Amino acid sequence: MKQLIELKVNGEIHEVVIEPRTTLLQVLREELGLTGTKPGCDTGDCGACNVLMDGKLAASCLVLAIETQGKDILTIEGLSRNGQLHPLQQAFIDHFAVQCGFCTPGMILSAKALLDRNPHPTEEEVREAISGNLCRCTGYTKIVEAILAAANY
Amino acid sequence: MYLKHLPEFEYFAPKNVKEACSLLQEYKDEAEVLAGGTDLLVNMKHRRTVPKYLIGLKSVPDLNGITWSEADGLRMGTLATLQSIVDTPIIKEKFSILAAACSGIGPPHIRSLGTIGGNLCQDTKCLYYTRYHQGREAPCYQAGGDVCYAVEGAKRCAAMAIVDSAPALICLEATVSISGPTGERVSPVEDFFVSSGVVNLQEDEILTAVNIPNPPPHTGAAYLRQSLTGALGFAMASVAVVLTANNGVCEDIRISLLGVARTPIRARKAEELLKGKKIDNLIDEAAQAASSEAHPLGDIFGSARYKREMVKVLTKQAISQATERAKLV
Repeated sequence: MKQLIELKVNGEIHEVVIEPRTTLLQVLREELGLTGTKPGCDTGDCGACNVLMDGKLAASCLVLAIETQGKDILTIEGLSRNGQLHPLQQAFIDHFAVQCGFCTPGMILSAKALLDRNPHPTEEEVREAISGNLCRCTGYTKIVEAILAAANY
Repeated sequence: MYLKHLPEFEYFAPKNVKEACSLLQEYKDEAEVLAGGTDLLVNMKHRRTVPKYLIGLKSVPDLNGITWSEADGLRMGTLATLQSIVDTPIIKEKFSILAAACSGIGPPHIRSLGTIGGNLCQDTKCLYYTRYHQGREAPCYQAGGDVCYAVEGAKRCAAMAIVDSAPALICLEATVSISGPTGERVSPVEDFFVSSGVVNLQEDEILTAVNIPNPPPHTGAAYLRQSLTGALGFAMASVAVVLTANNGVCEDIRISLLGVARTPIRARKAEELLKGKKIDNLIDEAAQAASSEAHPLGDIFGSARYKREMVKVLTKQAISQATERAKLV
């Protein structure tokens, strides 16, 4: 049975009609057209679908959309303001931390969760923070550099 | 990549524990409770379990929240997320091995969703069970079939309850509060695990809280976990030790092992060796005893012999660390 729910995503309220089994990942991509959040494994192992819910990292493929009412959801699309890139996004460009770009949204959100609670992390803390984000292209080195640099932007 | 759709289900959001238990009573084995979803939803995506009804527990106030007092110790609602346990200052201060255990569970995006109750009630695991759904083989015992792929010729399921929070909770003498239609009861965490995939929880009962008494003075604790891929992989062997010592003499000790038997276990022979004795002289012997109490399965992460050796190494390190820490309080 479909239900009408209200979601707050990137500061905007949206009303959608969905089945209980619809995940947050599906709602973001298919109902709201926010395709920045990626389906990698769909079972919580790869980090590509990471979003922030009330400031906390979450694998959106394992969150039922009907359970997100009243929460503040942030996706990669919500990071830039008035066309201005977030320091993390700029750092990823400056440090060549993007190749195919598929892991990048999830990677940046994991980094944001880290920097929000620990503005000056060590390299080890950065690696721990992105330990759930798989990247097949870069070998992680430039990503770690970008996040450490972003802390000083 | 393709999206694995969840199967269809009807969803309920009970407002209190009584309502949740009534729903379980009504729908019986066609219903599952949903806490963090990091175990259940994955199983549902793989069609390993297909409940017709999901009972969402996130909006039940009693199940959330972490409180502590000098008199009653720590109380964690079972819906407390593993990350919230890591981030709670009093837990880092007085129950540090629980924070250490939880910080090693899964990647950050799972730890912030997964709950302590869900961790205790998780589906038992073995490498073969998680792969059988690919449909190439007949179902194993746990999947409802009559064969075990992990242990050739096994007469029953050999999967282990790899509950990462268990060794710390067992050594800290934690109990779980359980609510059902007939009322409430309390069980030591140690007795909660009955055997592979079987916990001391009836079909219509819900775990509501995990309680930990305050440790006495001169108590030190340590937790060590061996895994090939860190927090992202199954524990090959984990050891937790909590001991109370005065002038190097052991007054009380609990040692718990994980990943080396069907359920988390106590290494009682090792404990008996140390009680009432000077710890430093007996660490090696106790570590050897703990190792003999472990019955691990060999798999691609390590042979049984290697895992038993790891138990010895980790127990030795954990007892030493706990003894040092006991001197500080």
